[in-house]
Amino acid sequence: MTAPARRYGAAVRALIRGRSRSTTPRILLALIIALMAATLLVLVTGLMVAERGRNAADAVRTRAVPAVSGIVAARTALVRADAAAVESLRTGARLVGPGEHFYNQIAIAVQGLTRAAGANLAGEPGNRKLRLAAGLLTSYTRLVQQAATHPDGEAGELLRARDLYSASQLLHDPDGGALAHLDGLLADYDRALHGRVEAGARHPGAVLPWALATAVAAALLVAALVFFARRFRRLVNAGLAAALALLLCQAWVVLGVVSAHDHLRRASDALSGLVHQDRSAAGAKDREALRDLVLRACGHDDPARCGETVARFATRVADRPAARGADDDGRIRQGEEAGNQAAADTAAEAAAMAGDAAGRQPLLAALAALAAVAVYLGFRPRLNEYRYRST
Amino acid sequence: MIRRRFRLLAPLVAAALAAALSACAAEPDRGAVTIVHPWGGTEPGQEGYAFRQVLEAFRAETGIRYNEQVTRGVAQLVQANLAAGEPPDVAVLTSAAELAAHARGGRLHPLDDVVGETERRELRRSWMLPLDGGAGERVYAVPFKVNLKGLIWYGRRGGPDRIPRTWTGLERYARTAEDGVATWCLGMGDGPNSGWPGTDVIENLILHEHGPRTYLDWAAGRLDWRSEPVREAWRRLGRVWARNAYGGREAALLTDFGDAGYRMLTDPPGCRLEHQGSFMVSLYQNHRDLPGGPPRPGVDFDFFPFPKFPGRSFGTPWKASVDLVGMFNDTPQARRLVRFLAGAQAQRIWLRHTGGDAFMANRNADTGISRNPVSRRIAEHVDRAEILCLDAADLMPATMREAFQRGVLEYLADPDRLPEILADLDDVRRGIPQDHWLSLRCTE
Repeated sequence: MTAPARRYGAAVRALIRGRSRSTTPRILLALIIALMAATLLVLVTGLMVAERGRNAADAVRTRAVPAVSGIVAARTALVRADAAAVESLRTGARLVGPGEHFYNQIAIAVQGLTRAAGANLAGEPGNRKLRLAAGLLTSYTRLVQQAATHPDGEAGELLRARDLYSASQLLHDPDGGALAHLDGLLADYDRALHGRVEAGARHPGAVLPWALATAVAAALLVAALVFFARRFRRLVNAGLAAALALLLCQAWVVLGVVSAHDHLRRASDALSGLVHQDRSAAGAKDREALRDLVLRACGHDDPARCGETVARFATRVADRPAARGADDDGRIRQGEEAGNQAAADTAAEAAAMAGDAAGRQPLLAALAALAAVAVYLGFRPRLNEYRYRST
Repeated sequence: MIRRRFRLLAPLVAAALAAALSACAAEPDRGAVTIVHPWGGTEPGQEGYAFRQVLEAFRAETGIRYNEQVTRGVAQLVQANLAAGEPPDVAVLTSAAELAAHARGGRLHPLDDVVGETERRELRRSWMLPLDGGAGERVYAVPFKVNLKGLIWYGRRGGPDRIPRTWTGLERYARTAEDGVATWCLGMGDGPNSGWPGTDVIENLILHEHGPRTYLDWAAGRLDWRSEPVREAWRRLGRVWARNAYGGREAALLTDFGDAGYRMLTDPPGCRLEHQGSFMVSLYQNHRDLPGGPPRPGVDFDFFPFPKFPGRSFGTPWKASVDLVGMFNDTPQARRLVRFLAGAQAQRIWLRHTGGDAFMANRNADTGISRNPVSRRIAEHVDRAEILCLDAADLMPATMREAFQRGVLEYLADPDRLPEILADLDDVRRGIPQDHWLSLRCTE
């Protein structure tokens, strides 16, 4: 054991055993121990707040953004693929099959699903839904490809209509279609996203302990300053004043992390906007095209003469008319894509900012260490004084 | 002083005890099981709702959580999941051949020690299917629900005055379509499985005209698709059904099977008969948008059995499809679920939630269940059928079954192409290795 350590050990033992009749050394010892403990507690709870913020930001950036944008992209691509298939096969382009555009959109849809699967935002239940959607996508693609193989002529047209209608139902069926599954998945993602954001830097379980620890540390420092001023007739103890300033700096840094949570909330709102986007207009025109194709294959203008399924389908299409004019549908989709892109960019940017704010943990640690040193320096002259008195 | 300290400590000790007790009382995690099945619907009375009640009862009894995946394309989903290396623990399939293929490939686990003798004795028929075809005849699937096929449904408003008991009578009745009312309600649509309502007609024609032996030879790939029994059945599908269908062949092709019977129940009706399975009792009652409310079994609709061909020496044959439960992952949770689904309790829950309009494989499931007169008669046929054969398409390898269904669609689109279609189907048959075919007997 070194000589200074032996000396301090003896002083502490003396203080504890209470050889001295004065209460001042005991108060000094109690104060320094309490202040060191409070400084450590402020550091630990501050780091917890920052860690929660970082985790939530990482989850938004690396999981929620790719998952939601992946599913939205897949959904849009599937609607477009369906439109491309109907358009290509309606115009009798049998030789080119469903067309290059169809295959491009299917590839985009597959990429989107893969991106979402990699993000794994909603855990195993989400992955199961993804696999189901992927299975339906395979059946859908197969049916469209089959529709393209039928020869021209009445019979071929009829079979093509049957296959395209079946394929389209695999996508659009509200009770079990691929789009319905993707919508359900988006709702799951939305819940998971909100759960992760709420568990971030503003979670009461993190903020309250930190606020309490900071308040206790500040109160102890003020009490120590008052004690020093009264007992030793010093206006201000420089070390303790510095420690108080450093504590305020730590609070400033942690509050920065907590306020950065707003960015995360904005990101979350942008993603929720994507989830809850009204997509009813998109695809309506394609459904009209499919209805016309089916009626032409059936050979009647009156849907009721083509059986109950066609009659019901025609009613559903009529209930949800497409936007007027051929270009409007395209504009709807362009707007949708621009909105998707903007929301995804905002989400990524906000998440990055929140992540940056939460990444200030080393600064917090440095400030806490300096505060501890400042407390020690503030106490050292008096401790030395009482050490000599007690020995 | 001590008392005061105790007063302070007491609440803390009590809180700690309460926390410890609640932790002990919390339900332990007994794991989860994944099941893929085809039953959709969330409303009471719908199959999906009924099956969810079964799964809930399983969870309550065992503490095992369940994850369900619902799709009409169970076979396709199982394939996709297997390809991804993540098969479901349990799946419900109707195709025995599909299950057999998985058993051959080692992907399906045997159930010999999962479902015991007691459960087996409770089954109505020997539907514990030995699917590997080997001498060991291990069991790979347990039956859950039975769908009797080959019923001819009619609306009480527009149906026949006298029930045709013979094929000639039915053929004659089919030709006497009145103005604006077609004889047959016909719908081939069912997504990627479209065409099966037509394959059902062909199968029933072969079974009733030529008997179980020819039927099984054909189902097992031993009979040429261009042979006279098969060819004639196809011709009859065109001549008797498609020619007299509501909206013609075109509407039959474009109509989904669940919608086809709707026009039989309207006033005035658009068609008079529908060849379909026993599950239509539930589906007809789901047409809640009819002016008179949901159709009532025995009051608004009824059925008669597929008519006999005169001069046949074999008894009255029936065919059925069975919802079979197979296990793709051998886990304790999957075993518990399979055993539970094979039991009377689970099957009774389904019956209770479908108003007794289903026919379960476990004969004890019926205890205490009241049925409407139509369902009661179907249950009697399931129990007392002289000969009951599995659906031929369900016995055929997946490639053959899909080609069969496609063939029906192509035939309805262009009946003149029949020779070509049958030749193509026979090419498919000959291309399938012999050990991929299932040879199962009809139960008598």
